[in-house]
Amino acid sequence: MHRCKQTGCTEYRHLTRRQFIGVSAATAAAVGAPMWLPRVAYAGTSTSRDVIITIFLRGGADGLSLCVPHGDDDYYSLRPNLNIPRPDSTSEFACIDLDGFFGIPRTMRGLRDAYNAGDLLLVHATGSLDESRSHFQAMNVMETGKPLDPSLFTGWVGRHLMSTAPLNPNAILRAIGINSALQRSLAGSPLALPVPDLSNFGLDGWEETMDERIAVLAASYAAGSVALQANAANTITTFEMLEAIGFETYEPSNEAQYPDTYFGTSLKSSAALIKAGIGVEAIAADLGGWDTHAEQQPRQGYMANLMQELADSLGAFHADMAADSSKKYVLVVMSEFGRIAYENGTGGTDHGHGSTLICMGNHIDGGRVLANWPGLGDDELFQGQDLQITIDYRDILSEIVQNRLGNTNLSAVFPEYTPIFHGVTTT
Amino acid sequence: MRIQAAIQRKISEYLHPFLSDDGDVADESHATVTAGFSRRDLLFGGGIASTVLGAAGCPPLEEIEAPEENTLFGESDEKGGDPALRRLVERCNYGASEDDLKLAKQMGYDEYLDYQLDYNQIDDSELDDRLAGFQSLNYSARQFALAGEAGNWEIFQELINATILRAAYSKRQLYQRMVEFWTDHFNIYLEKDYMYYLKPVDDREVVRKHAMGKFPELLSASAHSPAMLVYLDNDPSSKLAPNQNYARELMELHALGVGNFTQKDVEEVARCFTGWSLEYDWDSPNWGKYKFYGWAHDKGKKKVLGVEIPKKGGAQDGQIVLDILSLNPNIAPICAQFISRKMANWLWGYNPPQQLVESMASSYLGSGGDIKKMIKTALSQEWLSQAPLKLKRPFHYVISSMRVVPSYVEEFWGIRYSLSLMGHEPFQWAPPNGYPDALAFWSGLLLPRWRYGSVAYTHNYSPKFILSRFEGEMDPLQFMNRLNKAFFGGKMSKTDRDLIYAYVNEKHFSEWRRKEALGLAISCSSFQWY
Repeated sequence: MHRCKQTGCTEYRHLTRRQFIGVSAATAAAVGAPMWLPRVAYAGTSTSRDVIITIFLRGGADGLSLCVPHGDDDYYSLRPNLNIPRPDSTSEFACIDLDGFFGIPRTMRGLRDAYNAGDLLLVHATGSLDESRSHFQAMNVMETGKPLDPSLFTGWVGRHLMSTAPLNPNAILRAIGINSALQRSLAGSPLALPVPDLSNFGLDGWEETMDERIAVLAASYAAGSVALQANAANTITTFEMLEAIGFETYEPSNEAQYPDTYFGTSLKSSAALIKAGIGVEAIAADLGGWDTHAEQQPRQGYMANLMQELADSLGAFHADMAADSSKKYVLVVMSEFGRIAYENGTGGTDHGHGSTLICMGNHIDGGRVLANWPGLGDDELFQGQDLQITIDYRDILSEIVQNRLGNTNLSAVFPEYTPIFHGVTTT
Repeated sequence: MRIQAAIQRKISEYLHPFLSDDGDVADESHATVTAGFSRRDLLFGGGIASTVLGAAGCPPLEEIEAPEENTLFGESDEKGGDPALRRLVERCNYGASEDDLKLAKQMGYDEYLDYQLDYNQIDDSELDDRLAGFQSLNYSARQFALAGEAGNWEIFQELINATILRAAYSKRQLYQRMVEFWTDHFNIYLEKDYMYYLKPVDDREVVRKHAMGKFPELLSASAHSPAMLVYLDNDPSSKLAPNQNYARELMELHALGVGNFTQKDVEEVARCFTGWSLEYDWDSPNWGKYKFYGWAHDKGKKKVLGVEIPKKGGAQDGQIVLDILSLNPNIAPICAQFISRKMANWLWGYNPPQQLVESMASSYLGSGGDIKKMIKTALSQEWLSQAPLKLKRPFHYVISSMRVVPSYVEEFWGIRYSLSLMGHEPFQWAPPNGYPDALAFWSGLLLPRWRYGSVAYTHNYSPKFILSRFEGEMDPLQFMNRLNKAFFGGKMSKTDRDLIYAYVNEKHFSEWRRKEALGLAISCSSFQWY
């Protein structure tokens, strides 16, 4: 290694890439093997916390199609065309009964195994109390975890991670948003990065000069604007780590079949990441396209396909993760609002209020639908048109944060809110 | 229409193979890149020690401050001339090239701003030449649909490709920047049914036609745009089944902002726009054009934002709403503030001061919503001299790499693949709020910028660069001065300059390594800002 003391060549250039980015030798060695293989946990790490996967259904998903209140006659009068038929109907689209009152559409049968295993819980008539009916405001409220507060940028998962020590002290990354931009729920998280495609996250160019070029970038960003510093450093450590995991060759357990879509692949990569045990504690993924103002097609067609993609992906993830019960996770699916209880005249539904939330995990008290059903009668609807919210979504998330993510500091995660627990987790 | 929708989906698959689930093309493109390397590798043999970053024989760094740099703006300011003028050039252009800076210096601040505002007077024949091969720039929706039926899918590439060329090579740079602004403001997602037929017309007749016109006319043109009516589900809206989607976003996103209207207003506005749709009759030469269906219109009395709209109205009910939003003395001030804040965020910088917003809103209200007057306020020397740096969004970043050195485009796939990795391919934002103009949104995903930088100049495929200025006989110092001038107008940060200088100085000063250095120049921290 040459030195040029008088010339102002700065210290960074005398460091190797690994030294520069501060990856300890132990971690560097650890990322060298296919990481989903069983491995010895890092000394001093706790495995008592679940990895949380938050899935956001962007656009306002129609909870009355995701989890069908077939025992409520008003549902069928409000939705003469856009309903999912009763389970005893002869229709080929008859829903699958869950508990005599609620059911799921046939296109979501991919959830059945997880439900029957008791690992999947549906929560109905839930959501955030925001009344704006604006996608953007409602998403902000839901993902920040506090009713509209313009001064609050951080998300609820971000604050959870801020207020807990890393599960793995050597963690390179604590949170990943599978997207080209970090989801709001993760905002504020220490060591968080958006990664649109976990299997394809590295630098291009000539291999021989790769390390030199990375070192230049590392130094440039380390000295550059603060706004990009941390993200640049995380990026460099992350692509080394992800490269070592080898997503391309990952084989799911139990022959789980993920849909060959962006969302399906996101969950598949998430499973590989969790099994790798490298200290990622939170993953956020999105499935868009739920803003069904027209031609909703819940039985067959547009929304039916979307629901199938969701259910098949969750089902595959459940099967894949079931192979190793030591890899604990909790997955939550939510949407910014539900849709108006009655169908509109264009084969769709407009922005509404209450919806459905799905929880899945090794320690979710599932195999049931949790609801305090408000009814769909004229005087029971919110503002005369929507499913009411009888369970605040923060009740569900708070319980998960406290019991499964080991964080009792709920006022940091959901400020100014006193949750009511509904027994959604098991020990 | 259903058949047309199916064709549209095919077009979409055809145009975005790298976004499809199997990722074949993405892999192929990657393979091409890799193959490019293998050939190159031979030239270098094994002579490079890959991990040793030490440098021998760096000359004193002061020498990098060669006389030929930092003189662009005259000697009055050692740091590189008038900072306000420089910021103006950066705000008006997708990447300030040396020529842009020279021109601005010749003209002076006010004259340069007027020159950019009076965009129609700027000769753009060079761009026209580059667009000469494009067939569909003046197509109607029906012509697009016919082309789709005929399987002429190539032309559906033209909207995105032309957008790239116009941003990169138009001399009317401020105008192109405003086109991008309004494209986001009136966002339309190209993958929704029929949009490959309808959005090109919207791009031409709404966004580009009115980008520097008057806001009320722009708003009205957008409301009459079949692409918008279909995108926000107004096309099937009738008195029996009013659809609220357009009505809501019109107020929330296009004109007033959330909190400035009620759910009741949404319902009433939806009623006003019932019957606003498009010609669906395939046998009509007007297929895909705006059409009002009187039978579908709700002719009852309405009340929008406190203003009564009398019964027995027709198509004019919708226009009355648009006028309430953008011109009514009680409501227009809200609209003016909303638009001004957003435009100030775009042109001036993040979180613009309230005083600037007020000042732009006054420009709006005093001129019937003249966009040029608002721009002139936002970019005035008084305000811009205090403006903070903004992060280039990925589109801006890629286009700027094409403007700082001479370039041209033969193949578009590489540019578009890079933009899609960065999450910023034109017209691919699905929700109606448009790509965000926010630092926190874009600051996370740096890697695809580096990936682009890591092959752009070395592989020189899409886009193509003319790099003769960096080839041939020169020493590393000369190279650095040229790089600094071209890419940074002589104002490269000291850290980045030192780093890249060391990169070319410490080993072979080969042409390959110089091109790697150019890639590092656009990847480094200081190139991301403007």
